[in-house]
Amino acid sequence: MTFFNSKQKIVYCSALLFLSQISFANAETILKPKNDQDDGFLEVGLSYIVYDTAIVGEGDSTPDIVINGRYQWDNLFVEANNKVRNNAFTIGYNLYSTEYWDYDLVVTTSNSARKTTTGSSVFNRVRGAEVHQGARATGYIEDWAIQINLLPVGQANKRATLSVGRQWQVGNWIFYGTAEIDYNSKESLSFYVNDALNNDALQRGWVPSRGMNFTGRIGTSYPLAENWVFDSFYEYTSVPSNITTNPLPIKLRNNLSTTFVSLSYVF
Amino acid sequence: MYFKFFLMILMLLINWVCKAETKTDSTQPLKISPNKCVALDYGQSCYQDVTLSWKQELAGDYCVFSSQQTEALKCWKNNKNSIFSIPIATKTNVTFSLVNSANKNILAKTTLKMTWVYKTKNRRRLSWRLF
Repeated sequence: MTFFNSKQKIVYCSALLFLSQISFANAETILKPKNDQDDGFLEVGLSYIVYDTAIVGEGDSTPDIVINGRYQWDNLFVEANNKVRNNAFTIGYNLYSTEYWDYDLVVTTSNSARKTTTGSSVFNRVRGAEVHQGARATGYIEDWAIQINLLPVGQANKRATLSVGRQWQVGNWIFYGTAEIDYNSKESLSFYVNDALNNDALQRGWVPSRGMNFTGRIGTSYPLAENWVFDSFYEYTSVPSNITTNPLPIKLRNNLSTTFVSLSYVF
Repeated sequence: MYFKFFLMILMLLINWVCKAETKTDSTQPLKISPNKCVALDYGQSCYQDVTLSWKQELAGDYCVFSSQQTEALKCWKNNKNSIFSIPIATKTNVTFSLVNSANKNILAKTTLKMTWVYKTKNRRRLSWRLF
């Protein structure tokens, strides 16, 4: 059982240290909010994840930590998300905002499929440590949100995502659903596949072409007390067919599913 | 094995958290339980069934009012204590008052405090859960 690799540890320890410094210190004296956008939160907790790995018939489960936070000062913001995302850390600058849209420049380790901190999942194993740079636009209309990420600069070359989500309140329960399409360049998929399969594919001279994967997620959150939140979700990710149809001697899954539950404290 | 252990820890924590939230002061003439209503995100409505109980030394005509409406929630004749439950939906604190029906004097007050787990007003709060 390995929670993080060394790069993820560095990124996450830095994020946690940074966010905790802000949260535990007197935020009013360090960061005087200038408008409604200048605020944030930090959330830590425990989660348990049951997930598929890329190879047919393989799966695993593991306890994990939850680190989720966001702070903004003027146009600069930081985000850490180990809840919906897999060890994602983002530093960004808000270029422009309208009534419904935010346009940001970002440097991020965010990835599409969520969990599987261990194992040989095609989409997850190395992405937590991968850094992308680019721009994103996020729109908010009541309980709907849409996000477009264009990340042309990264270790594994180009990536782009389109995500749509909505939440509903039923009593004090929040239910939500999201759909995401994730484009990966040829170099990007090769990078993941080769790493996930311990370079077996590379040694055989096989390189997948570019492809898209779809991720759907349904979940629920419930406020147990003033600072305590229960979360759970189920996530489905389709694997691009150009990965599943390959010359390798092992059979890869057509889709990956993840089930997640957590209890966390919000500062 | 990990899953069973995690579930056990989770249940213990939830039990502890919920018990801590429902503590009330038994010496008050007008009591409310629970005394907090917690919704998830800032601005969302909170839904809570609350139990109100009151007691007076002398039997008389009493009513309980809420800050959410002008009419009494409930009235009693020639009584010196009672307990009742009502469903509340609110985005603000709700104050309950025990009033002497004869002279309209307010005898006691108690408040259901409205709070949110994520208190930030930033609209980006929606994206924390979705993306």
